[in-house]
Amino acid sequence: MQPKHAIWIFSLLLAGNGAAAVADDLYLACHAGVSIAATDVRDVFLGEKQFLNAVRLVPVDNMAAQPAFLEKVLKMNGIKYATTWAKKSFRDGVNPPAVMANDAAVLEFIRRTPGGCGYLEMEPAEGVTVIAKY
Amino acid sequence: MKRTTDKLIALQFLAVVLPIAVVLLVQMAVDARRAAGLDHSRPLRILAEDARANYKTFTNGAADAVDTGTLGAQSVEALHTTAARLTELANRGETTVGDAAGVVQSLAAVIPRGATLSTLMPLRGRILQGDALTKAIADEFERRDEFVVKDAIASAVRQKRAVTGALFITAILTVLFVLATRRRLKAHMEADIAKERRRRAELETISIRFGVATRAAHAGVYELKREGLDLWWSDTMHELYAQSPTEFQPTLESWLSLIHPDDRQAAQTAITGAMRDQSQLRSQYRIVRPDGSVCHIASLAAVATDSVDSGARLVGIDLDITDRVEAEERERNLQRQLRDASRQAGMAEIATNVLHNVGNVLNSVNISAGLVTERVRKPRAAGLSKVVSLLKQHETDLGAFVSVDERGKHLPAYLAQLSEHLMLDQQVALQELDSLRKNIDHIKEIVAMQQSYSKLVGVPEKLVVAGLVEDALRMNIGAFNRHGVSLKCDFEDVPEIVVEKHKVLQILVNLLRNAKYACEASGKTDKQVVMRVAKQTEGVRIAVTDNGIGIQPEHMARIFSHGFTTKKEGHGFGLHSGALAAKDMGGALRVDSAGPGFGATFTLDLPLKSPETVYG
Repeated sequence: MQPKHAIWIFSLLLAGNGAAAVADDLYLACHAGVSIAATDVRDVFLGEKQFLNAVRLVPVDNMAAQPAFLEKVLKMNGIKYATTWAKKSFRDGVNPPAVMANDAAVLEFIRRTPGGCGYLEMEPAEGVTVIAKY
Repeated sequence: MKRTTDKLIALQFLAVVLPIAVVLLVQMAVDARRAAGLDHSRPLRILAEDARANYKTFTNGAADAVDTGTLGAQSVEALHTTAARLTELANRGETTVGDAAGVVQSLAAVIPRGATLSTLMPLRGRILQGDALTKAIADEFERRDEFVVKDAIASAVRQKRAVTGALFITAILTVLFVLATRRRLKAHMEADIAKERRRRAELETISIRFGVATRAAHAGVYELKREGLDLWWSDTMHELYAQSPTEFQPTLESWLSLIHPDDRQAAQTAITGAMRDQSQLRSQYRIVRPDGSVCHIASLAAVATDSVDSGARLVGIDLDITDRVEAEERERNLQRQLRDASRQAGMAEIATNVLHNVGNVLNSVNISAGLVTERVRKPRAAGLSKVVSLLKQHETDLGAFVSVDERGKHLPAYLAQLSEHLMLDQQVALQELDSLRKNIDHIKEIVAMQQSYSKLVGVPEKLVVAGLVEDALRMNIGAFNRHGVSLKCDFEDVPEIVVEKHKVLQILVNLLRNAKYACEASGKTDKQVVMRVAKQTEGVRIAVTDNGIGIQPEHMARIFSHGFTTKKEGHGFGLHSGALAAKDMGGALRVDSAGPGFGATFTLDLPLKSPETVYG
């Protein structure tokens, strides 16, 4: 198998439903005690910023909203995202964000995980901090 | 004083040095322990860092493989190096390695040279695990280094605090010691000054006493220093030698010139010998004063040194012993005269005894001679002469005269009777003549004994004690018998002694005569004298015990004094001379008495050898 093909498969795994339509709005939310700047969202989801003060930031992907998030926020496609994380993980020993199935899973995760951050298609209710709206 | 000061200085030094020294020693021990720990961990840390660096090389290569599609050979080599380093760490007992060696080794086993991304991606979890583990190891060593640094910093801080504390303590102790030292030094100085004053006062007192004593004792003091080059004389020394202190300069030579020529060499030898041998000097010599008088000097000296003058000095005194020497000479003369008188008295007493015994025998001789004379004077020869005359007148008619004449008829009976008388006279005369011969022999023996004593005067000879005592008894036995004094002897076996026979005999005869007198004076019917001879540790004891009148206690101390006697006709010389004679022979004469009426015991102790024999 060629390397490019491997990354492609990896990106498909990360991207999930690549054929899903891009949502209208995206909400970037974090655990209630976490308040990152909107400009730090890209670094957080590419593994460049892993701590806020003494809190470890734990970004998670939302399979349903990933294409829209990659396009609107990170400005890259799934392959590029997967490749970046592959190199990042080999070089820095950092795991890529876990992939949640939908908003509910993401919301549940960031509510119970200190430092947890995720993006949602629906505006979250109380209990989390909304960092930005895209 | 100096010793006390030295102690205080030493204490101050300790007060300054000890706290800091303790701090430094403790710090040195801590640093040494830390250095040992670092020496031990340094190679392990190098291995851990090397493992981590190689693993990062491997992961970077893996990251590059995302772009290139293939893992470089250098990365694979780095992975194997990592595995090797971790294995070595584990082998060295480094517990932090944990599972890392196993994880990395398993990766190295499945990742070959030229591995593609498709090989690496499935192993991403284990690669990340290896990264975390190697990072943890490196972090652990980093933490250790950090701990060491922190510990070193903390130690330095502690050291700083300890040194500060030590300096503080030192400062306090120094102040305290300075204050204490000042106080003690002041007290010591005051005490020393007081002591010095007392010592000076004592010295002045001693000097005054010494001056008074030496002057009173007519003693001169001298001090000879520098091997005899320096000589100091006290004023009394000048007085003793009758030399003016202003005119006479004492030197050893001038001193010796004042000593009598006959004694000078001995005196000089004694002085130089004492200086050379550092020994005591005891010498006696005569000096000649300027007026020509001779003075006897006793010189006593000792070699002394002191802390000021390191050289030896002969310090001594000269004593004027002229009076003593002259007194001793007089005493010697008196003793000699006394001994001579004693000897003569003893001889006189022995002679008296001899004469007395001879006198006793002479009584018998006189009686025997009288009897013989009386027998001879009886007119038996005259009767016989008449018979012869009658027979001559009738020689022509001798037959008729004998048978017819009345006178002639009685003649045969008369001749027979005359013959019997003449035979009887002859027997009596022969008996008396025999007695006379025996008595004359006895006198001869007595005289011979006296002659033998006279010949042996002053010559010690080896004697059997029992024989000596028996001679003394023999000389007195007649008197004992006449006065009814019984004699009892108790002789032990004793060794022969070497003494002057006449002295012992003189003593014993005197003691026996005294015993006889004491018994006679007591008026007792059981008069008894006991003569004992017993062995002593280094001599012989002869004891004469009587049951006579005894001795009054107040007379005991004077009994041997010259002129003391309790006898009416005594002259108080016998016991005195006996005691002197016993002393001359190295023995002793003692008396014991329970008091008047209880008799007395005179004990003569004699050595086995008299001093003249021992030293002569």
